[in-house]
Amino acid sequence: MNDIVPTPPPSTALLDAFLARRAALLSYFGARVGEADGQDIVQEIYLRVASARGDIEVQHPCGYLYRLGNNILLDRLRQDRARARRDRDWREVHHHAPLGGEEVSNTVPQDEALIARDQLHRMRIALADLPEAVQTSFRLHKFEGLTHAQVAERMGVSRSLIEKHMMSALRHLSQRLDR
Amino acid sequence: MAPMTTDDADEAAVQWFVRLQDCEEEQLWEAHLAWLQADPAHAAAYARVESLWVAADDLPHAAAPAAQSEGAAVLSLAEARAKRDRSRRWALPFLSMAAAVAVLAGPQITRMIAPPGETYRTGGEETKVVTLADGSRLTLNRNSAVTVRLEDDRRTATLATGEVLFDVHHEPARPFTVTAAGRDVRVLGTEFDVLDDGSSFAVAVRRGLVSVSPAVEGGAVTKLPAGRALSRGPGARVDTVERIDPYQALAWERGQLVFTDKPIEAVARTLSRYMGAPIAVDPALRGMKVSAVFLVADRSQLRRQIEAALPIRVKAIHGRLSFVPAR
Repeated sequence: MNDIVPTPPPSTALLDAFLARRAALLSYFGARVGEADGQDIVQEIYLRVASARGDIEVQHPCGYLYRLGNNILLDRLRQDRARARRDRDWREVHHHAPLGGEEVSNTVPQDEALIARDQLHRMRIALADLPEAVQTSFRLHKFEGLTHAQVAERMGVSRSLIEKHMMSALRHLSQRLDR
Repeated sequence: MAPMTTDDADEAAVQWFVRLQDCEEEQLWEAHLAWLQADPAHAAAYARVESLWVAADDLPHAAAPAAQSEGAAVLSLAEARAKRDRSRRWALPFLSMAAAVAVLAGPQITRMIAPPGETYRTGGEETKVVTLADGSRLTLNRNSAVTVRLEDDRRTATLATGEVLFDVHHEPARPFTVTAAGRDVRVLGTEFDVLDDGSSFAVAVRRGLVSVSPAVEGGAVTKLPAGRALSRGPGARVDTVERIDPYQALAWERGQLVFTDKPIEAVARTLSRYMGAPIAVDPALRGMKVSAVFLVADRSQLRRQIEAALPIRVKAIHGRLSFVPAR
């Protein structure tokens, strides 16, 4: 990040909102992921806000900061997951060194891989069990990236119904995975 | 409050998770903090919902029993993606802002914005980010050249060589087409990567939907949604379409090269662009699969990384490079 690039002035509304809420954001994300990771997320919020230009339109700067942090958090979870998968693949491919004539198989990562596959399989079946409207809401929001309001508009129903659909989908998936 | 059972906590976590999607009400987030702090079981339950949500990324995206024709499915997908691109703008400040600057900011910024019909190049030591007047953003990998023309009814980019990541501003009335290796890649509002290094051609899509014209006349157009890549290696007679992890495939943008279980020949081809010379592979290494992460750095450092990570040596004779077994 040593590049010297002419940058337009940052969005002062966002930056002000951030500075006024730094402590609140630290407690919030600290409660979510622990103090150290929480600090990282708040730092990342700051970087995004500081590099945001003045003409970005944000209606609710304070709420936006939480939403931004929440997305950063989810992206990190995704990256951790992808990294774990890469590590797993790496070990699956490379650690089959025979030791004293006995194959040293790395059973733990292979178990993880099996569990992940099984989890996915069960989720797929669980999703198919759900009423069609619930499935459609879930897909439009999760995979097409529509907001709840947009899903509601698309399906011609109220937003609160979409929220109910989302809740029942998540409830159902998590119950099925627990078993 | 009466102590909650795990089931209560799980149910509450699901409700919180759904209510906080795209939420910009500060009070709700503060209330969520109070709930998290009320009982350690709450934070644990919430984390479970979150990891379920992320795990569900891998579910097949298309509805299994859809009785729609394929054309209709592709159309609605495109429409939804375009919607998402609009709705998600806030999450990608650089994207939306680039567009806003072009439209709103006027004279003092225009110098930073490319005029039409412009060629951008990078050498062997740097990548470059270019913001076009329409708000689209191009990230040029090393040793790349691209010419961009913005017209009233169309936008075109011709990739002469190398690799460019396109983050295209969606304009239905003005399609964006990338020409590379004699093929057209048509674009909806989207983010994707095009590679043409003379011998191989590849398109990888991070967001949105693109269509790739056939290599020969009369062939079929290929539609690529996010998370898919089309490639044709040197000498190949057909395209390969595969699922990719965009985070990994486009890691070069972050200054990393990530390989998972890739044939050594493909790795050599990619690394050639960073080493500034074609890399030959010793026949003794044939069949080797590579999983490794390299940080893009200058040539000598990159060479050290390769030799440290893999059982190979980088041999240089008269400016020609080759991978040989380290022994």
